[in-house]
Amino acid sequence: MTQQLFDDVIGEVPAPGVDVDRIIRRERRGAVSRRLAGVSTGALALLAVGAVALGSGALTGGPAAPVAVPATAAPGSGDPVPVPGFRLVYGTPEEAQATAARLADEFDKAVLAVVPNRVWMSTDGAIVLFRAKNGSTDVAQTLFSGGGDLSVGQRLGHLHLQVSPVGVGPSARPVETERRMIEGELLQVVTRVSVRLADGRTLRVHASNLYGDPIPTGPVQSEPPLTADQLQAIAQAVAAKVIA
Amino acid sequence: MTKSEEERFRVFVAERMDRWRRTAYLLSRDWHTADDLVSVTVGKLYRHWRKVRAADNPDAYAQRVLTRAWLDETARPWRRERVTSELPERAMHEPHGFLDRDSLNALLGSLGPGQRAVVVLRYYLDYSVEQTAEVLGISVGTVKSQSARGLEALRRQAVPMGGMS
Repeated sequence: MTQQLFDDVIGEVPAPGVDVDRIIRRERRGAVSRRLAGVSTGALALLAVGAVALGSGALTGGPAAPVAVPATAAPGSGDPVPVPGFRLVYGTPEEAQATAARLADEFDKAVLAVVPNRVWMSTDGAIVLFRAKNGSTDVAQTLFSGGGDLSVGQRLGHLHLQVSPVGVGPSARPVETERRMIEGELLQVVTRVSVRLADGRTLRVHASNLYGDPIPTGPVQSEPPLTADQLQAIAQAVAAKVIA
Repeated sequence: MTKSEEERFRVFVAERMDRWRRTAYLLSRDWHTADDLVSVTVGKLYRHWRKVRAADNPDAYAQRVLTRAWLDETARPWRRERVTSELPERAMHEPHGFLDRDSLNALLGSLGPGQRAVVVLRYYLDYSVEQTAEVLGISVGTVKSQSARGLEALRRQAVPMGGMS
């Protein structure tokens, strides 16, 4: 098998679709935003924890419903009070960037609410990247995807969020755990939860016992750093912010 | 990042862009996805540029990032690789002479993401078993077994498609 044969498979290489200048500009903006966000992390954590404590008790409640619907009324109030939410719009690069930023923010708030001692292991924090639909049949279509390595106390692993288009993926099982064995050795344990969003799309959150970005490292414990219940609480909290 | 460092980064990326795109295409078999993977890689390399510069082998570091981006992409509930331990380890035999472009393309598509990554690293990028293991973050033994499985799958597919030498 020669390299030439692979190059024959590649064929004619189309013009690059990678805009390095734009990526650098985005990364510069992201670095500034992360520095600013770092200053207010403590305050945000308190707000998030407080909001959950005063809210519906999602941390201690039973199994989450598979369909998340954003709340529309405050308990005990007379008229419905809209809860701030956002739509997953991505018609333009600007819309996509804004939605991804909001999604990342809500994701991290939800994580902090559930595991206040979480520490993102990347110095850059958790990044939710926008991925455009590309029509590929080989790679799953993903509208938004992102996450990062983190520690929760002594447990390490990877936490990831993704949003898929309507109709993509199997009929969701709300919770599933996959244990991947290679050579009879337990390599990876992944717990996934999924909820249907108010707009009909599916939001999935998964945690793995592998970490290491960009270099993956073997499992340091037998289970992911977050439990299925914790993942459900995170998914529900994010989903509740998405409106149709 | 200083301007001079940024310039170094741009040169680093420019010199490797073609190879990264080709590799990403072999992994994903889709140019849009390939460019998406390379974009993710460029962003991560920018963020971790100091680590890249300090790495013993910056090319291997970059390849780790690219391959990890691909494996992350495939680690979806409906697109995940099924890893089994059913196939025994075997000595590898190069399947010279029985593949043409179209059949290799089809056969690569029949491999799982991990096996495909191993095959691309080993036989397109000409990485050693040890280098492949380092890039993928797996053991040498796993690379050998995945290579064997990948080649075995190629061989099994090749027989009905055109015969094997």
